[in-house]
Amino acid sequence: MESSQYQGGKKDIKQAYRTAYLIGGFLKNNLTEDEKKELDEFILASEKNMILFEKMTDPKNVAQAAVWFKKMNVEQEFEETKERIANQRSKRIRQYAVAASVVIAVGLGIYLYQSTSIKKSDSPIATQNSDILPGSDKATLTLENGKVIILGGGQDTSINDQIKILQKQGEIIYTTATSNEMSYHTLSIPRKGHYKLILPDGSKVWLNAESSIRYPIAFSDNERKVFVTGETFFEVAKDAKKPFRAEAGNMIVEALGTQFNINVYPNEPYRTTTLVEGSVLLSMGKVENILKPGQQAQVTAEDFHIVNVNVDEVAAWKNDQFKFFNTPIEVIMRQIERWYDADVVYQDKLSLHMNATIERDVPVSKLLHILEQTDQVHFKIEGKKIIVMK
Amino acid sequence: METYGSKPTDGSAHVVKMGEDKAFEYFFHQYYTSLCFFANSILHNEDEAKDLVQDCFVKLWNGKTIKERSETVKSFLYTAVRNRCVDFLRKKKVIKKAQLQLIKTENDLPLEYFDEVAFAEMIRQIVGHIEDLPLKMQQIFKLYYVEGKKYNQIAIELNSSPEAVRKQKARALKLIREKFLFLLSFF
Repeated sequence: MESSQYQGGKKDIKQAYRTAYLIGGFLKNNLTEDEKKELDEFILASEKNMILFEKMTDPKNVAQAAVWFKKMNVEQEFEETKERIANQRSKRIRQYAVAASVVIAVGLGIYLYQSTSIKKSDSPIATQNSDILPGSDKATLTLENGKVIILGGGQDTSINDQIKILQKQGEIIYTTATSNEMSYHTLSIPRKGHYKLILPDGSKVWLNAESSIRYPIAFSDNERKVFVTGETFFEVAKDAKKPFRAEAGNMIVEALGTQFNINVYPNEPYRTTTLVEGSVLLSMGKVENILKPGQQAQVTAEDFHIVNVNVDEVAAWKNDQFKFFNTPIEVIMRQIERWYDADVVYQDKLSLHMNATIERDVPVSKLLHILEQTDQVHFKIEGKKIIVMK
Repeated sequence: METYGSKPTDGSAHVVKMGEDKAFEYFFHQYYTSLCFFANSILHNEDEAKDLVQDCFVKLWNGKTIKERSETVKSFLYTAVRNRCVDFLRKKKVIKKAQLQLIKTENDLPLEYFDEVAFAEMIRQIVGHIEDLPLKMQQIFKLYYVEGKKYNQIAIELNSSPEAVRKQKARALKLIREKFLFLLSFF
């Protein structure tokens, strides 16, 4: 126990690494007997060590920290750092340069200082050094046995012969397989995420932020059935013998080979199915209707009515765009909340419809800045909060 | 192979060794996130944490440490980040208060933040292996990450109160303690 980290005397950073290794191994349950003994000794060496052990194995702390890690966009930060090296400017010089440029911009009305590395002052909305980066490829896959696999970033992998994960494309692929038992997987997308799934029949599914799909790892002989929440876009592979059914609560969409979008976020005024191509049969209990391309079924508690919509707008998200055609500000802000994991607060009451096409890979300040061009609405970012003002 | 700046220290400007480029990229991907997490756990300011860690990587690039072996580089980075954090807090006058608190509770050197290093390092090592963690932790992680739930909500959904989680932990600790007592009985 002499070597124990907190036995007084001089602490050593190497012992911190050792603690990390031992407690990490304890969580992963892969310590050798000797290492287990070493960990026991460490824990019992002092009250402080015991508390540290408790802190480091608290599921809440571990989960929170892991989420924090997962949210980091290392590639982008790497680019920024390389730029910093290329410019060899210290942070302080950078800040003065920015401050100076702002003064000049205010004084002369000209923005003289230009550098792509100044993300914090791209637009006046993102003042107090806060901006929110856009979402990215992110999902979790829950297997039949409850195991959870985190997707997004990292190397391509395959779970077995039949499931391939292409991290760079943000895609998970199931290859054709037959299976007697119905084993289900669930793909869930957090806020600030999206992912693409290719089902064993070759059908493609795009999932927007805060959405999920539950599906069998192999379809049965006579039907293809999946369950969805949030927003999903389907490109169903043709197979006349096996109808494809997507269920969202009591709304069931049946298709043979077709493209459609389902939006069933609980905080939208109604659930929708929008047909882009082909035809689908929509049913809710005893009510049924066939949709034509360009039509959208707007579903309330037990009934639905059909309207014509601009399908480009509805499916824009799958092409990494926001498209607004006469879209109410509240609808726009809800999309922003999901894609940027932001919380929107209305300081003023607004009745506003907007038109815009904006790429989804921009920081939120840029998007809001574009909306501000209308001069009908203004925004302020405070941490995760976006304040909407007149 | 891309290069992104000449090292001012090597005399001959614009000469970049391929090897160092690669090493830099490797260390950045290995440690950037955990260093930011570490800095944030001291500063509680994410933007400042990232800024300061990036500065330390610039320092790594400009110096000779990058040629050392991996653990030396890691220690260089943690120490550099820790020092910058302490500087930052000192400038912001936060440190005096913090120092007083630390001196009260610890008899050894304050402001080394080894517990924080240990935690950041542990998360770095397990974050790619969520599926190896205990099932309960996976479930909590999923509820946090995917559904953005608050901890109390999660406890309800998993049918266990935070207190129950704590009790479970206490049981585990008790087992270890008992084992220790058992060992003691031999002496």
